[in-house]
Amino acid sequence: MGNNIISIGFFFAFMALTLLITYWAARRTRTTEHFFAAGGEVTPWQNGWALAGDFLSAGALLGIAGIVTSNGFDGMIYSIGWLVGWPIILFLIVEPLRNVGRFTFADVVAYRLRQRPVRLAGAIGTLAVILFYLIAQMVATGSLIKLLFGLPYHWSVVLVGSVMLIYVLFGGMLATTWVQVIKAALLMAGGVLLALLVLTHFDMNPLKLFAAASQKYGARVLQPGSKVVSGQWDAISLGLGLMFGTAAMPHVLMRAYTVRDSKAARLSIVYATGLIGVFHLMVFIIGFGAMVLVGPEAVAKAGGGGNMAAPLLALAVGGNAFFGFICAVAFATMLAVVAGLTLSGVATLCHDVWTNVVRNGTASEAEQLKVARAATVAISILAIILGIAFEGQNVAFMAGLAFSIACAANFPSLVLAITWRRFTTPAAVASILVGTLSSLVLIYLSPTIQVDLLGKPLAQIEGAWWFVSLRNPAIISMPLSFCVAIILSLLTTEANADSTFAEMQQRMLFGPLRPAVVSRDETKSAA
Amino acid sequence: MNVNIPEHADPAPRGAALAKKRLRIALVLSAAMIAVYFGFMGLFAFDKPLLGTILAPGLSLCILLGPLVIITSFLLCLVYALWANRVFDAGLRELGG
Repeated sequence: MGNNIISIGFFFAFMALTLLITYWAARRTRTTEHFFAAGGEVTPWQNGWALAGDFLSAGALLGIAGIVTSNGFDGMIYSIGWLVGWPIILFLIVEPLRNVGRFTFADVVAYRLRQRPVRLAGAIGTLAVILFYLIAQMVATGSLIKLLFGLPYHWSVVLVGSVMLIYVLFGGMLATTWVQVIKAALLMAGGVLLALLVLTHFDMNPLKLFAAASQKYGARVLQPGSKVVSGQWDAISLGLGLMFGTAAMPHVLMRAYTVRDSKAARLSIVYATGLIGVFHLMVFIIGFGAMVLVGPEAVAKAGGGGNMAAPLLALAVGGNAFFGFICAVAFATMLAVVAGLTLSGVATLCHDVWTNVVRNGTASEAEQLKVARAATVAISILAIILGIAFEGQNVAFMAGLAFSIACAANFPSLVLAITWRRFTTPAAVASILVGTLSSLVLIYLSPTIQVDLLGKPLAQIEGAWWFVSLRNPAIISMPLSFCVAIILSLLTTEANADSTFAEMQQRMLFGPLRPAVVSRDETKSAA
Repeated sequence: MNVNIPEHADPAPRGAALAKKRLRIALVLSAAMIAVYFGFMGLFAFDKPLLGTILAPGLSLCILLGPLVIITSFLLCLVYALWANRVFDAGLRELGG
C-alpha cells in the first residue's frame, strides 16, 4: 500500500506523545497505589474514556465492521453483547467493588473469607481470562500490523509487546490510563468522522444507506442470519457470556480503583457506557458503508478475514491521509488494550499471589513494586512468545473463551461475595475453579476445537457421547458455577465470614474508613 | 421519606435501610436490562423471521430493535445514576458518610 508514509507519520506522533506521557508518569509512580491505581487521582470523565479505551479492542472497530460488511445485521449481535454488560457493572458491581477492594476483584471476594485459598483461586480465574484474551489480541495485532503497515508478523508482535512493556513498567496505571484516554479519543474521532463521511453519500440518513445495501445485496443483509452465530441455544449462550463476562473482566473492574471514590467510579461507568454505545452505533454505519461503497468482495480480497473493511472504507471516502489515520488508530487501539490487560495480570500476580498468598500480606511497599515490575516484564515476554507461537493459528475463539471464563469463574463468586452472608471459602474456591475448568473442557469438546482446529469431520464426532454442540459454554458453565457455590455454601459454615458480613456491608456503603495514607518512608524506599 | 424513625431496641446497622433500598433498585434495573437483552436475543435465536420483518425501505425490525437495546442500556444507566446522585448520595450524607 502506497500510503505507508502517512500512517507511519501518525504512528510516530502517537508513540512520541505516549512515551512522553510515560516519562512524566514514571516520575509520579512511586507506590503500589500509583502503580496499580494511578493514586486514585483519575477523574470520572477521564476514567470513562479510559474504560472505553481499555475495552474497545481492534476487534470492535475492524472486526465488527468486517462482519457487518460481509454478513449485514449479524455483526450487531457482538456490538450489543459488548455493551449490555456495562449496566450490570454499574448496578451490581462497581460501587461495592470500589468501596471494599483495593487493586483487584479478588480483594472483594476474599474480604470475608480465608485469604490464601480464595486469592489463589481468584488468581487462576483472572490469569486464565487475561492469558486467553492477551493471546487473541497479540495474534490479531501481529497480523493486523502486518496488513496495515507491511511490517513482518514477528516484528509487529515484538514491537507491540515492547511498547506495552515500556508503558506499564515505567508508567504503571497512570501512563496506561493516558494511553487509553488518547486512544479512545482517536478511536471515537476516527469512528465519528468515518460514519459522517459515509452518511454524506446518503443524505445523512442511515435508512437510505441500509436501503442501498439491501438493494445491492438483497434484504437478507437487513435480516438476522445464522452464519455468524449458529444454533438457537448457542446464541443465548453467547449472549450470557458477553453480558456477564464483560461485567467480570478483570482489566475493566480494575479501573474502578483509579478514581477517588465510589461515586466517581459510578459516574465513570455511565460515561464509558455512553461512549461505547455511541461507538458501536457508528461501527454499524461503517460496516454497512463499507458494504455499499467498497463492497464485500473487495474487502475479502484485501485479506485479513474482513478486517480491512474500515480502513478500505476510509480510503474510499477520505483518501490516503484518512486511511493512514485509521490504520494508526487501529494500532493505538491494540496497544491500549494489551497494556490494560497486562497491568491487571500484574496486579493479580503481585497483589494477590505474591503479597497476600506468598508473603501473607506482609510485603513492604518497595518489595511489592519490585515484584510488580518483574511480573510486568514476565507477562510482556510471555505475551510476545505466545503471540509468535500462535502465528497463523485460529485464535478468534480465545477471546470468546476469555469472556466465558470471566462470566463463569469471576462473576458468580463476585456477586455472591457481596450479596450473600452464607457464602464460604470452599464455595468461592470451588465456583471459580469449576467455572474456569468447565469452560475450558466444554470448549475443547465443542466444534470450535474439534472441527475448526483439529479438523475432525463434524459427522464423525456428532454422535460421540462426549461431544458438545455448543460453541459458547456460558449457558452451562455459569449456572454450574453458581450451583456449586450455593450447594457448598449451604453444606459448610464459616463463622468468620458470617460475622464480618455486617462490617463489609458498612464498608460497601461508606467505603474504607480512612483513605489509604502512604507514609513518607515507604515513598522514599520505593524510590 | 420518613425522617423520624423510632429507635429500635436492637438498632439496625447504620445505613441498612439505605443499602437495602439501593440493592432493590439495582436488582430491578438489572432485571430490566436482562429482560430487554435476552428478549432481543430470544427473538434472534428463536424467531428470526419475525426479527427480519421489513418495516420500511432500509428498516427491518432487528435494525430498529438493535440500536434500541443499546440506547435502552444507556438510559437505564442514566436512571440509576440520577437516582444514586440525588437520593442515595444525599442519604449517605445524612448518615454522615
